[in-house]
Amino acid sequence: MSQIIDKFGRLVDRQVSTGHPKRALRLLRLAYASFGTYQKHFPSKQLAPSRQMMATLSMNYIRTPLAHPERTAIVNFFMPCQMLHAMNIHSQVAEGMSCYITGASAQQAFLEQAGAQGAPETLCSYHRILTGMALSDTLPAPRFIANTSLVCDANTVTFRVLAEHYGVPHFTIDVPNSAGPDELAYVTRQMVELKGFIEDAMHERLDEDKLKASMALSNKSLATYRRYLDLLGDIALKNDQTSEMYTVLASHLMLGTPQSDAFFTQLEADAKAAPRTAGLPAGKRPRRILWAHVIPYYQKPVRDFFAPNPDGTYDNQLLCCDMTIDALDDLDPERPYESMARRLLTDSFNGPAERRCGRIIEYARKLNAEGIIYFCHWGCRNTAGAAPLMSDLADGAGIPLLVLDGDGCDPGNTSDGQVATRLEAFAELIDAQRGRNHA
Amino acid sequence: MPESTSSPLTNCGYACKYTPSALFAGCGVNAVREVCETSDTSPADAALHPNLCGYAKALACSGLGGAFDGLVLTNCCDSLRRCADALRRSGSVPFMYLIDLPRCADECAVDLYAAQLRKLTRALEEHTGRPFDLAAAVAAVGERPAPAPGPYLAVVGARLEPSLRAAIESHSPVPVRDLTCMGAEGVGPVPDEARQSTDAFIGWYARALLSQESCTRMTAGNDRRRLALDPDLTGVIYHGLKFCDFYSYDYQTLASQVTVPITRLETDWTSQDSGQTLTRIEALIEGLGLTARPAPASDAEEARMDNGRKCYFAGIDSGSTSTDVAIIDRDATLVAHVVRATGARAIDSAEAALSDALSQAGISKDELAYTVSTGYGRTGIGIGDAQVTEITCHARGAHHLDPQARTIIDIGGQDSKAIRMDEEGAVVSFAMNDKCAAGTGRFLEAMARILELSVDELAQMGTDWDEDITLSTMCTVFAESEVVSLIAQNKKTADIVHGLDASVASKTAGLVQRVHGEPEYLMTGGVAQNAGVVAALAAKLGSPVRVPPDPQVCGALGAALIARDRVVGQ
Repeated sequence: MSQIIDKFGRLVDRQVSTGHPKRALRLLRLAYASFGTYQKHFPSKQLAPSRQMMATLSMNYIRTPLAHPERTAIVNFFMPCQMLHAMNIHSQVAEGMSCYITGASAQQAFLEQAGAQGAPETLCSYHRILTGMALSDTLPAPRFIANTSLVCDANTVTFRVLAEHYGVPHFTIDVPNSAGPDELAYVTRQMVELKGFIEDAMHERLDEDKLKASMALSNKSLATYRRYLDLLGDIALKNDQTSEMYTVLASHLMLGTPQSDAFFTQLEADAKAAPRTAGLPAGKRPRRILWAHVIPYYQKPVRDFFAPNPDGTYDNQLLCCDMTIDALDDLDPERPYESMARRLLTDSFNGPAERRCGRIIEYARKLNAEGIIYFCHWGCRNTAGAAPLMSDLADGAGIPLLVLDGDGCDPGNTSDGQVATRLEAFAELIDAQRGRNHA
Repeated sequence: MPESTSSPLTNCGYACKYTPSALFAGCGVNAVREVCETSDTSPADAALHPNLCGYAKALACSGLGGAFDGLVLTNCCDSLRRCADALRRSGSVPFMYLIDLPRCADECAVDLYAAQLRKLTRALEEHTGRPFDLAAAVAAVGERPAPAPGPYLAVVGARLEPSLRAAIESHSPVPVRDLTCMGAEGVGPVPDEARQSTDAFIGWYARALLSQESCTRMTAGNDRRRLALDPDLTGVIYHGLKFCDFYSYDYQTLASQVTVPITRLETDWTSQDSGQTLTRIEALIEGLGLTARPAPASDAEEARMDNGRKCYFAGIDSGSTSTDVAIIDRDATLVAHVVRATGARAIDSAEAALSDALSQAGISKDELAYTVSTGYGRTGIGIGDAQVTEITCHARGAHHLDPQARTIIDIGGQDSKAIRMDEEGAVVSFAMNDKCAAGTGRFLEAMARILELSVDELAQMGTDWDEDITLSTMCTVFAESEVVSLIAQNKKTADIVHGLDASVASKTAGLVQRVHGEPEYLMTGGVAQNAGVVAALAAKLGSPVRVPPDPQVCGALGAALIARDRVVGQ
């Protein structure tokens, strides 16, 4: 299978390199459509029903904007999308699109294209791939671009370059570092302005009732997810690196849609049906891992780490990624703009590093994590610069920590061998800790 | 927010031009613009991470070392935000303060920034125990100095390390204007209405700071058109700082707008890359045509040629891997060419190579009318009448070898470059790889060792491949493990070699695109003898890549031709 994907990637590469971006797009859309159909009819039986459902929903989320660019906004990961949902506007996000491109092994031509236009190799790979897709004209022009400054410097440059290239309207929500009343008023005003911007770009009015409905649905999903997290501390529920990245989509860009809500509802049901960890024989209890930041889902040693054994058991349980526990507070449907602003400002990824690292420790305790993998995605200075603090806090909490350098979507910035050694050594470290705890 | 202590605060550092540094003076504190050069970033690597911008790391090193009583940073970038976190946590900076800097300058942003300035003022008052003195703050607002009229060289982009700025100034024949993000500060004078109360002053100051010429971190970006249209602009050095994302695409925009020579210079703030940096600076300044050019042959030059007795010209290319010497006669005919390994002492190999070349030509050193040295060792070897960068020399040599060539691709031992020329062989644009060895001769040497091949064997093997293997990485370290894994999969050696050649071609094609390279392509340097790389590059560029019969002579030949030009004219 991987050889077929590699060949497909080279085929896309050739189309892009030889100036045929439309052909490249057709190939990608065909591949995603075929794989989506396959996923729908032959879901991975080793995954819980909620995870199977979300694989299909995520594929649709990525594919739809490629087919309907006239009703698509390019956004960044932290952009509150309830206004888009209320107006039936699709969103395209760098992290999601780039992951699917790497999934199709087609990233190289886009990385090169971005590099040739001035993107430095130190820039986030998600942003470089998206930029390469745009500048090669493989990614169709969206109706508009709207992004927040949260949570990385790349937002400032990438979306400006894309807007200039496409000649489409562009709006940036500037999110300050602190979250006091002045800052809340500042961001709230921008959210209101964003509403007018979207209406102008679409030549349509936003129905405030639909916005409130999307906010209310967001609250229902968040409440369901919080209940799931309450259960997760005591259960053994199979999850894998790709599924958890889908959850990141569901808890942010898709939040406030019926699809996302259906997923969270099924997730809670799966948790209720899952065995309690305490009921498993001692030798069959998977190591409980909390992952911080994006997950390099394509990387073989990471896949192997969370993969099931032939007998269906698994050695390592991926509890959650900290990108799904960053903003769990309810929104206020009666004050939609202020509450979307508050969500941005109080996100654990915003503000001082202590806020995010503290949240990771809080949930590691709540979920009974036996280890934290803190992933420093290449190009993410926010995460990398907080690694020593994370290390100190984990030490203080007595939770083993692995700081793992790598890349969430560019295989060229990482080495399988190095990652495999680190993950295996970390598993041995957790086992040794278990031995000490039981001694 | 600061961790207040009662320690005295005399000097307070800052790092961003949007910092309201005049407020420091209002509380009796001196404002110090921190430049913090360091060659050892290990304390910052430990307290933060190696993959952060060098300036932030240098600042962190100073802070951790107890160099600051106080430091006020803005949240201008991810690196400095994390630097502030680390310094606050360490407790090594008694007054550590982070200001929220808005990304635009509209009314709401001005209001928010004014609120930030009031909070900072209160924090300074609390820390120093001194009430805010409006008159002192007003007096401390600087005015942006008016630039001297006349031709100038602009340095644009990310903040500039002081030693680098000094190097540019010392090489430039025209005044240098520092237009980098920290280049020119000053928002004064303060209008009368802003002098009436602290509140009025802070409101005005917030607006004035945000209205400065925009840094690319701001949402408005940076309008470069005024600079591009300035008739006094003679050239641009665009400075990029590794791991600073803001100044990336901006270079392409500016390069497409200016009609004067422009080059991109990337550094990492550690002063360790001065060799390559110096080459770029000198090449740009050569390209400006502002260096003292020799007049065509004159009576004085005839005298230099000693009435015909001295009628040979030498070029010495002192590279990292090999030292090449070319000697030509008055008619520009090549009479000797020698290649020697550079070895541990560049000066010894240069002298030996020159001696060999003189023997080959059957002439004595006295018969050399003029000698030009080039390459990394050009200044260090201390031989020759003049030093010229390898960029200019390669262009001169390539134009002589193949007048149709418009783009030279030179891959040497430790660097690779693409040079675009006009029809007369003048350099239009050039790009060089960064410090990393990816895509250079060193990369191929390292891979040959893993495959247990000689470099010559590797060079021959790359055209005889069956399977199109794609290496996912260009990094020498990662590529080693990838090649080892391909060996373990029993992949054919020739196929692996092709994968390596293709990865070098891919990296090099990126350089070619950066200079907007166009056919005919001419490849020079040691790696041009690698047929696999040449073929992969031709495939990547979609155009034939020519290789002269002796691709390694180009730099030395160019140097010899320039020596000849300087005596007898072109």
